[in-house]
Amino acid sequence: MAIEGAAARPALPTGAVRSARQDLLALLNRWGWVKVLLFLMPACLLLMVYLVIPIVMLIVMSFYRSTLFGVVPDFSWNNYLHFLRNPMFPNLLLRSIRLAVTVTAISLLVSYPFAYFLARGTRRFRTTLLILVMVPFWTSYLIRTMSWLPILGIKGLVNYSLMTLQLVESPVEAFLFNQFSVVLTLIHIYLPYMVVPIYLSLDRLDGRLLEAASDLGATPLRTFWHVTLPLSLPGVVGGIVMVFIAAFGAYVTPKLLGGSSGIMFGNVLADQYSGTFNWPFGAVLALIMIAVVLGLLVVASRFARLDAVFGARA
Amino acid sequence: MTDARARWFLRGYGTAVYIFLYTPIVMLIVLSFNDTNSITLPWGGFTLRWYRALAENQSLFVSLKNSLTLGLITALLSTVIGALAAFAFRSRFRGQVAAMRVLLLPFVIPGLTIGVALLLLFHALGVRPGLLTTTLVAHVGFTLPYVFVLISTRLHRFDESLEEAAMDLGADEITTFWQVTFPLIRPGIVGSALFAFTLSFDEFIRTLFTIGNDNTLPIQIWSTLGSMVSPELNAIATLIVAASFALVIVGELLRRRER
Amino acid sequence: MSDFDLEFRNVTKTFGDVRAVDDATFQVRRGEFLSLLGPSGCGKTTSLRMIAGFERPTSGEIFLDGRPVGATPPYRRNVNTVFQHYALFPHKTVLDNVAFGLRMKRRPPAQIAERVDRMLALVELPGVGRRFPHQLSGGQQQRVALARALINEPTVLLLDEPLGALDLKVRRRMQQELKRIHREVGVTFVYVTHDQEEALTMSDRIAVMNHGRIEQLDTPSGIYERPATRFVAGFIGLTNLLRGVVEARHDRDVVVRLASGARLRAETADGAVPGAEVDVAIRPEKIQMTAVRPAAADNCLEGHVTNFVYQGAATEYQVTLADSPEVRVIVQNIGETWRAAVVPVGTRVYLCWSRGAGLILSDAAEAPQRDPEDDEAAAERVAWR
Repeated sequence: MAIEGAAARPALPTGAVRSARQDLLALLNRWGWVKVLLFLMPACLLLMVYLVIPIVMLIVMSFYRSTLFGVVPDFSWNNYLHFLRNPMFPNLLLRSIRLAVTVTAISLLVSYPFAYFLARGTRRFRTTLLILVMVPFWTSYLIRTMSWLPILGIKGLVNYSLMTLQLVESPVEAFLFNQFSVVLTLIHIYLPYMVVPIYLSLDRLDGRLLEAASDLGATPLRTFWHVTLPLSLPGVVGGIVMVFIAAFGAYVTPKLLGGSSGIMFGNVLADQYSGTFNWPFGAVLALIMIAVVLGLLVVASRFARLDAVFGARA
Repeated sequence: MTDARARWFLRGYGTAVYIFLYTPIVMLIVLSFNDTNSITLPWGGFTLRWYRALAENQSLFVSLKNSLTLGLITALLSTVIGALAAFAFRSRFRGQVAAMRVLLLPFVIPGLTIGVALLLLFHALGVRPGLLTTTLVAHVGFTLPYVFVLISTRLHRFDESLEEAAMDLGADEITTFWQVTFPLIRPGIVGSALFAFTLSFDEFIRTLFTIGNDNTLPIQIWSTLGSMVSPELNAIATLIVAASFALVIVGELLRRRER
Repeated sequence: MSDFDLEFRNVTKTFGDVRAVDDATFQVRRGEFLSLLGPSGCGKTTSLRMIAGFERPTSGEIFLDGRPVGATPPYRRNVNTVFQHYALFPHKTVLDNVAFGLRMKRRPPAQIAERVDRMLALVELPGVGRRFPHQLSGGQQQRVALARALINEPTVLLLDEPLGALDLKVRRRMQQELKRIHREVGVTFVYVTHDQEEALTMSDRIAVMNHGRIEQLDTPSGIYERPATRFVAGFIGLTNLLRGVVEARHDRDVVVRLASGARLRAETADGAVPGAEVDVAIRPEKIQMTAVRPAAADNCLEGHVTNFVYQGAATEYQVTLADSPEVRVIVQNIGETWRAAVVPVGTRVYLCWSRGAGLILSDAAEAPQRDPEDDEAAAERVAWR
């Protein structure tokens, strides 16, 4: 089979008819940035409205004054001073940070072996196991918070078991409506936030690296310490960041399960917008919360490239 | 510790964690059939009356409808905006890294502060809070980074030589997208939309501050928790867990199809 | 139209500081099989992508069928590519893959169907139309990729290391297949590879590239027997390079004096002036190794065997000369048994070759390009077919 010779070849179009579509594509090819701008515009607009301008509003509001007759535009540092002067607020902040750190630490300790089990353990049921981890992840944290009430309460599962086993005589109240229940529930709710990033980074780990370490004389323990752990660090850092932010910013869980001793920063913040109606002061609290979170990010970025952790591709 | 013992330890440990994860949920499900008036023990017998009560709860249906509508519209908008942004990041441009960081920022700003800030914004603008206005903005903004990351990852794994082959064979950029790129990433996009829907459906804290008189399902559950605590709540919760389970399975099937 | 299907004129492509392609100029005649050969990073793939339209030259111009391609996008060039990993559309059947280009041109379905059948027959894959790419073997996928490209009757067919992913035996077969198809179809092929053996067996002409520059553009035997630069001599096959100084020159006849005092005679076509430092290049298989000094020989060097490597069909000997570097000699294992014929280590031997077998290499100047109109080249092309 021979293909027809030169005479039958179509000539390259010179004065060919150019449609609007061709013009558009030629334009976009020539000025690449137009396409980028066009595609990013919706996201930019959205984030302006969702993130940038609201935070600006927070900053502006934090300088306003709250009077008996409502909020008055002003520029005063009163609200910030109010936060610092009353020891209750800084204490609350520190307590909330402490609780969040506790939740994060315990969550890390619990999650790491679990993620390891998922990543390097069985292969057969891997998908099923992963689905089972994800189902709570996809269920509202409201429901998951609520689900601890029938377990920790005086008529709950724990007390029931204790009494049935005759370990105690009357129901123990200390399981619910305090810091313990808040921490426990937060750990439970945000466990997938820690498991998933660590699992992903362990899963990505090339098994041949472990074989190489073993070949070079490292015992399993030393292989873990020198190879596995450092390489899973991005996942660990990612998990820590996600869990801390979620725990520190908690509102529902402490309100529902915290009683009076388990109140967290978020609850007082929210109160400024319902009970007390002190919007400027609430803005200050919100900004402080954001500042703490950003501070954590700065620290964490020294240990791992956060962009990669959150899935960005540069 | 020998290898076999280590493996058994890990398996036992894994089982323990699963028990920890699921005990509250199982309790929730079991108690939804409990024939007493409290959401906790003791067990009073098996009954379906809470589910029947749900079926007659009109306001619940309204909230459910609101949540579904909001979820669908959020998923749609979020996926389109997120997909466009993901495609934009395929090219290299100045300020790319900074733009990516801004796009991912909503991940780390606590929902409570966003809710409060949005309240301030809409109040200052004089916009009345509403389900498909203010709340929609909150939901789309909230789900956007998730969708963006999911689609970005899919795109990153996509073999560009397939697009080059299409162009080499005479398809311009638009035709290449519809004939080659889109069919191959479609499962990923649908999966992202599904995830966005779920996020929106379960979203509570931002909704609390941006919704006016309407209710979404989580909002209604919250107010119910405040006043009357009955196993009806358990019933709703059980149904939601079942729905989440179904959605996860669907999402996984989609992921399989993509391979 | 022009005689040349493809022409590069002073094409340069830079990525930031890196010059991927450096001032490349050449012409490819209609129906020719040209290989771009070189190590990774030499610019061969970049050149290919510029022809296809996925990159644009930083300076210079590419001509297709006599016309400059300018900024024409890939989908409007009459050029098709066989990609390195085939890039078959996984979500389309073989038939839809192969028909893709024609459907883009909106050819009538009946014509498309007929052409697809013919193409699949040409690549010897009749009847796989309904299957999906993942159901085919590597070699089969490769042939589908070829059919998909060829069906559009391109002016130039580009092949980007298409055989790299295949096993040795399959690769050898595919090389023959490609040559057959090239002959049958008559389209100009531009073939990128880093495998010199592949280039030597398949091409009408080879462009050897290094660091973006074309070191030599010549027929396979020209490249092999008359390498223009040290790089080409070293890259293609094995070469011994013996450094010396030009002592005397008479026409094409050159006498070179080595450091050891030995004198070699060789031929050269271009300027090797007395006093210049040059390399005498001699291929290992062109050296005759004897135990006794032959009576009359243009060049003879004395040395002793230091090592040998059995290679199946031949034996490679390493011979140390009087006081200079090691020379490699390849001797065919003609004898009945190898054991009996092998020359043991330590044996004193004489390495001899004729004046015309060696080549003078000075520092790489402008690599002379063989004009395709050269009758010698044309004759060789016929011989290769």
